[in-house]
Amino acid sequence: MSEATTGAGGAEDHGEEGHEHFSVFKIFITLLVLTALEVAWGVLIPYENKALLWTGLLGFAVWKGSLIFLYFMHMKYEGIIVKGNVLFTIPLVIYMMTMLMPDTAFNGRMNYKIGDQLDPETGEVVSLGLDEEEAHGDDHSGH
Amino acid sequence: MSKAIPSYDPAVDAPRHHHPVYDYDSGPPVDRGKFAIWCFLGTEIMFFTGLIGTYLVLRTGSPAWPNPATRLAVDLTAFNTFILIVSSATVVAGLNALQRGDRTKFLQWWGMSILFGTFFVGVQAYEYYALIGHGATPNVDLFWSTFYAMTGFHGLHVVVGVIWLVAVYIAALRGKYSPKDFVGVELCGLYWHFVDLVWVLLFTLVYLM
Repeated sequence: MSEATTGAGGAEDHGEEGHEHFSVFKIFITLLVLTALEVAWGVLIPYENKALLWTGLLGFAVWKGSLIFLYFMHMKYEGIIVKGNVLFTIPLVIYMMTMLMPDTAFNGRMNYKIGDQLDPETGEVVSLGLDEEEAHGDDHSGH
Repeated sequence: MSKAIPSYDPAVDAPRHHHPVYDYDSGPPVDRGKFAIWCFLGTEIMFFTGLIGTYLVLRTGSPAWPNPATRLAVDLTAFNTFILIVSSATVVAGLNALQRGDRTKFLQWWGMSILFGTFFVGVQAYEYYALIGHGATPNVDLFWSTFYAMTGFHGLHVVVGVIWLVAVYIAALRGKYSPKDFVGVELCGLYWHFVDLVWVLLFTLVYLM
């Protein structure tokens, strides 16, 4: 599969766009290695250590997604029109996630947390969350 | 010095179109199909952002969340992720073969992509079958409802992608596409890579985090 490369000036060019060289095989192997490292990270890092676990996993995911976006989807070699057409979604995504932050980062400070509900009989706030045992990894599904 | 006015010959001078034809192009200087598919993929990015954003709000807002490894077959899905990445690579290899003029290799790579895509859907269907058999239905709790919503919508995209791959394959068998006419193949490839990209994120969020 190493012959499957895209080269500037070669027959593999996408018409007038003039791609630079990149090896599909190298990107492919990099993606596989990153996937293996990501799964190992997810298995080896304790589930309770969420900061380390999530940071590493999101890092691997963004790295892999960027490789697919830039090389397999050819975004690296596109012109300003296609880039501008797509990249405007990035600030929208950031905006949306930022607007959701109060509901995610500050849930503990809310009067009524997400996952809580008022008991219709007593009028008190009750938690509808999972019990602590399952939250720490007990298998309740039998799968 | 006066020139004779050329006579109007309907056989030569009559317009052959029902609309005016200009000697300039009023559209953007990119392929129409490519522009359209990127517009569509932009809306798809926002669609999956909505799903992922909702998932994050529900997950981080919940008092507790189960470790996905205790409920899901991470090893099987990791292998399925590997299959989807391979299918993306074979799509790129197929497009490159077509651009080189090697139709035989193009059809081989494209056929492999169809097989890998179908395999992915098959594994996901088996996973759903096994989970539902164990009572893990969407109405059990937030974990399962978000799981089925996210992986289900992605699965639908994969099914559409496989159908599109097959349509391109059949068109290629009938002689369509060449080193000068490959936009239809490229558009299908872009959609397929997007499906792969989304899965990379969903696999991390749903199965590993």
